[in-house]
Amino acid sequence: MAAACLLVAVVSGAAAWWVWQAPARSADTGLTVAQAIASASPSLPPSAAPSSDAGADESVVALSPAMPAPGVVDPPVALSVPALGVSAEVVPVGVRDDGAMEIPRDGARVGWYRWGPEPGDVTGSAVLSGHVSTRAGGPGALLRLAEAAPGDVLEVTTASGDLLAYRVVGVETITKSVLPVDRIFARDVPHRLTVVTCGGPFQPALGSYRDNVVVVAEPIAP
Amino acid sequence: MRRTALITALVIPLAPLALAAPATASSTGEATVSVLHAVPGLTVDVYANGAELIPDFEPGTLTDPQQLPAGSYDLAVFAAGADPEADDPAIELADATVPAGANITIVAHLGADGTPVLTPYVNDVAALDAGKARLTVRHTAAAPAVDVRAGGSPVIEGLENPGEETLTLDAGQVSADVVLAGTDTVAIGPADVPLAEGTATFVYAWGSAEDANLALAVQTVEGLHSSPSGVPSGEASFQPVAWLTMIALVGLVGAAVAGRRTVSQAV
Repeated sequence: MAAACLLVAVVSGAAAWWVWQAPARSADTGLTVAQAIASASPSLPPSAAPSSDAGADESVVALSPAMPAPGVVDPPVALSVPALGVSAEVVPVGVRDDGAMEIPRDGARVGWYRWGPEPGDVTGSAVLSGHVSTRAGGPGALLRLAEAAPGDVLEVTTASGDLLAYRVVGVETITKSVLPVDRIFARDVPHRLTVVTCGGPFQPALGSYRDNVVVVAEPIAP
Repeated sequence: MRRTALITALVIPLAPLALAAPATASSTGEATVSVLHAVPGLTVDVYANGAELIPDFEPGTLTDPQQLPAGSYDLAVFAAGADPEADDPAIELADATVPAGANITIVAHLGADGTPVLTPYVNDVAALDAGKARLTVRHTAAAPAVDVRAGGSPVIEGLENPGEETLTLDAGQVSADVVLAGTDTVAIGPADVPLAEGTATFVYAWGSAEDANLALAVQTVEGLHSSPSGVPSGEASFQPVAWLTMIALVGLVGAAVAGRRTVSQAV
């Protein structure tokens, strides 16, 4: 029995080491975010085309307790990337006091930016983000995200049980200071899923990684 | 008195307004203009610079926003079907200024004393920080000063006709009511007001306290959202050596415990 436990320890350690050491598929493969965004522009139906100028959309709204809460209809509850063995619970998140996207403290969970589009919407970029690592030094849910490659399938499960499939079209590592947040969080583009985590070298003085890893995926027609 | 009217979403095309040239071309460019009819019990025709803009405009309705040449407009409101050449207007506003680039709502409503008036309000449609919503409350009712409460606590106090006050709030839904200033006497509501993220919501208290027809009208302007400033998704470095050591230690402890059990069983 003691030997069995030792074996477990050694095997699990070795497996984890292998995961960590597995040759990373090229960090910057496929399209850049800009390219993915540019290419992902099959025309929207005119009725769904968003208005370009802010403030153009007004309406009389009947005041009624029966009015549904705006936006969220069917939030995502799980993300998986079969090719990378990634599987994580998804929870809704908002904005931190400093204006950055909130990230779940639990490194095993992935956050969905609830103020933006949701997976399955017709327009806009639904954004998911989770830790690459936890404060305890363990692996976060999206540790292997940087290994994603064009063609990989991402699957999102929604609260109603729908399974939404996306295909990766671009993987890019971007320095955080120049992260194109307006494109990552765009609400007026054809629908896509954008998954973000951290990458690049860890900077102990700043307590964070230098880069963000950004994976852009387009919906696979059911 | 305790009453929340539902506003019918009747949209009046404002196309003829585009034909009404400004009385004076004070500046170039265009403005976004909506018109809200908030005078109870009076169906009207609205004229700008002598041209009919909105025929048979009914109380509690709001036009779609329209792009108009900036400038100044003479506005007149007649009882529906009246002859603008012969009859006196019910409400008049000369030289209403429509500045280029502005977003304006012109409201026909009752003054504090019950006299119908036209008030142009400039809508704050500046971009909001991520996660935020803007709420503007406008007192356009024949009623005394009011407080507006959200979830039971006053957030706006002593608002008088035709005053307005604007708050920036976390997005969400608020249960709002309107009380006579400094009292718990509810004049309107409560009503659940959704404050969608990145949206400006303009709430109008309108009608007449005396006639017991106070109500709320709501106008929203969407698309004012901003993106979060960043995505801080790595709080500490992944340390495979430390992490593997920990896993191995757990395994060793397990082995030790199991070993002891084996020994004790052997004894």
